Amino acid sequence: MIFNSVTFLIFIFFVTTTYWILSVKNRLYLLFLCSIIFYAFWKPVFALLMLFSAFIDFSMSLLIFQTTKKKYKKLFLTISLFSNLGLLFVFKYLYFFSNNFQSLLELLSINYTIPLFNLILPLGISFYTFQTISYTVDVYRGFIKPEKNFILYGCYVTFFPQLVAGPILRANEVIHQFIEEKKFNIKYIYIGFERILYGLFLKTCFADNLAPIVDKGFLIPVSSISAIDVWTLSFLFGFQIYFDFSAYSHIAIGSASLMGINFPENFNYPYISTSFKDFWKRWHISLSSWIRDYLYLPLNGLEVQDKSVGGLKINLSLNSKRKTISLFSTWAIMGLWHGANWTFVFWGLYHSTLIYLERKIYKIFNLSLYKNTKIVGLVITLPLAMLGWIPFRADNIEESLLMLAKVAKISEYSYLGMRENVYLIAASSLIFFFCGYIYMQKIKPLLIRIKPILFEYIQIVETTILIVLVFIFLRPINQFIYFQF
Amino acid sequence: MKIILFQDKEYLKKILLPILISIFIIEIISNISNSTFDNVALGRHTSTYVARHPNEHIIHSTEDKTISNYIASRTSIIDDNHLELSISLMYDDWVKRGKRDIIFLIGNSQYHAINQLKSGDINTSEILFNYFDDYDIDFLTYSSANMNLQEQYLMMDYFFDLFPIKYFLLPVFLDDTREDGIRFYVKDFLLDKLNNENRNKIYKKLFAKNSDSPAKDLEGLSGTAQERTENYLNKILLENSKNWSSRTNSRNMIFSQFYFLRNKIFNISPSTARKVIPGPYRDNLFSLEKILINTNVRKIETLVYIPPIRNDVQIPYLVSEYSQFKDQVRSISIQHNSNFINFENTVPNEYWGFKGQDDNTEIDFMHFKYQGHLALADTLYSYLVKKIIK
Repeated sequence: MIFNSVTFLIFIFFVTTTYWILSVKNRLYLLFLCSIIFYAFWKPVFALLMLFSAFIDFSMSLLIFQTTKKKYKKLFLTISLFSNLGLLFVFKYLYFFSNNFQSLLELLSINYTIPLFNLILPLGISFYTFQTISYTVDVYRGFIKPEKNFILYGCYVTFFPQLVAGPILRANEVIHQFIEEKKFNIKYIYIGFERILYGLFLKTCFADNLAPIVDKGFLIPVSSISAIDVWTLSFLFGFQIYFDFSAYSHIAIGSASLMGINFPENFNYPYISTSFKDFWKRWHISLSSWIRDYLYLPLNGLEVQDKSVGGLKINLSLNSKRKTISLFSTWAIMGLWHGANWTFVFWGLYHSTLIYLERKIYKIFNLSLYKNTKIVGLVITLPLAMLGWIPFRADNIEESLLMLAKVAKISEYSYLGMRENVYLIAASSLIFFFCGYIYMQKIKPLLIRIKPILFEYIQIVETTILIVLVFIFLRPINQFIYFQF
Repeated sequence: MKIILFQDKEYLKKILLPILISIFIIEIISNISNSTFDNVALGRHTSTYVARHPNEHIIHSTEDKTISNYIASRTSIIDDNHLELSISLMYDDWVKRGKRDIIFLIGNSQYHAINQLKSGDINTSEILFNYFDDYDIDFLTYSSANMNLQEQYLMMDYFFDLFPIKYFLLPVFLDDTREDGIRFYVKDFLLDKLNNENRNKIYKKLFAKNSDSPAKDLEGLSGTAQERTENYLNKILLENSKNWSSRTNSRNMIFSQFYFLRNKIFNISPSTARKVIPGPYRDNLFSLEKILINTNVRKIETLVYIPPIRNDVQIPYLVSEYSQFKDQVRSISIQHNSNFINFENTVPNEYWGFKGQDDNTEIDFMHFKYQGHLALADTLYSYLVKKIIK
């Protein structure tokens, strides 16, 4: 089910009302059932695939916990990982790899045709696969005990607010919340209402209105656009994807909040980052934290954590080949997680290169370059992070390289290839983002402290404006970008 | 439940009060928003007029609330979402009139908009239709606001197949070379009509560039099980809530306000110089060449002309770019054996109008008053009579 729809608004109203009427035990059944219905609103048959994947991990985790022999624990973990990653590979990457292998055979003049299976990508498979992997691995690591109640475990995997695009949760963060004795509190409704409203506002008023401009911009032949256009498009897409994905996270957090369930934050104003390390602490935090604990730190042989917060801000010195290799391979895999296309790998490697260079600079100057010059950090990080969206959004590597090459040529800065409004919209988005940040992070807390009554009035005006705008702009015209991952 | 609900009145107030106020505001917005964005852009007192035949004069105006009832006349089509019906009406009437020879003009809003329209005013299309009616010739027009040459290429390819056009008129505007992409209703219309396999690659290329279509309300649900429920709910809301059904107009009103705000902040007026945008410019001139290659193949005599522009004040282009544009259009026309004339001074300065009646400072560079339409029609008539009527 798509969040930006009337169906969802009715659905969430029904679920919330029923949830608070039922007993704790029955609430669990309600959430499980409603989550399956929520998923089935897309393509019912794929709900079975998700349940199958969840059941494998549920069983393997119990077996891992019950057995005392290490080799059996490893075997059950391998079965779990194999089935999870196998499904992900078949549905998401089989076509990509077959296609690439076919090209390789042709390059080597080997006359053999590989059958290509272009399957429908089950919605949210990348998200629920990572979530179930983390569960099994956490059981294996001894961080958590496996659940014996499949419905409770099922709720953890399928809980509808986070099912299709995260945040990717850890079992120890959320499972206990499903069975907590909670009494209705209007505060839950208020927090949930505000977050959902804000998410819908970002999605319907900003992301969906930026989408056609970005789409049109990326359809212009690269030969017709200038370096300024490349920068503009990168900023526009950067804001589109941020408004879109953070909107989803706001609605997910808000929906869970209606039922008194807390989710960790998934975004923290990534475009005010003062370094790339900082960026990965603020962007898609639950994914970065997952990558940190299940890929990056294990590859480096370091101690892992069991929480989906913190992101990829890790203090590692650049002192071994292993760490360099793990840095690049982790980001390449994270890129590939987003989609079966080399452009995403390119995006991952682009970021790992910047992190690598950043570490080098830190080391050379023997201090934090941006420690006392945050503004310098921001001025360097923001445009480079935005430029990174070019390979992420472009159709292919060739187009990405051509666009990025434009940026490096002075002569490409002499003309404009798009309508004047496009630049204006990009500038407005930038201003909106920073004004939003200043208001939410600086002015709002100050007002609450010194003028609480005035703040209440402001809040009522703010909520009213958002309701009016969401009412006018609410249209399920675009799915959330991260649905395709 | 009552006790639980009111346990914290503060939170309840924060939810209910904005909802109540917003209902009131939405009601107001729904009542005041009734114009499309294109009409707002045209100017409050510049009216869209559709040439008619027989003597059935109907006026389009931004202040005319029946605008949505219009489709097109039998001799002239303006851009709309009902191309299918409009063209079939035009075709049927042409058949009824005895399949007369056709002079066809394709242009932008200059051919259907009239400044400071008064009762009895008609436009170039209708004047020329009436002139040539006496010679048993149909003068047909297809005009669309800001129509670029890529769209004109596609539409003309269709019209050349539909009608045995004897003479073809093509005014080329520098303004329209800044436009890019194919409008969704042009694309939708042509996709149904054309056997793409028989057409050249340009179709695919042009259609691929199309991203102009305003996203349909339920587009994101296409192919999903949710599509049915959302369709059902949307239908109920549309039938039962005036506010819900006027959301498109409300969105247009908001965008219009941004448009006016932009103009105010950056001091943008109709006379603000518009620079050439290299990509669309190149693609549009390439399409001009394609149109002329098409007319050559089909042996249709063609006049390419630089349309009238107001020249008693600074023109809204960079002079050097405008000169270069005229030279290029001339050169392409001659290269493809078409006639070329520069009609930029055809409409005297006093026949140009304003975008608004109340505020006579907003000069219109694209549209003129009835007298301007008459002047242009007379000029074209003189030229065409010499060419066609032997």
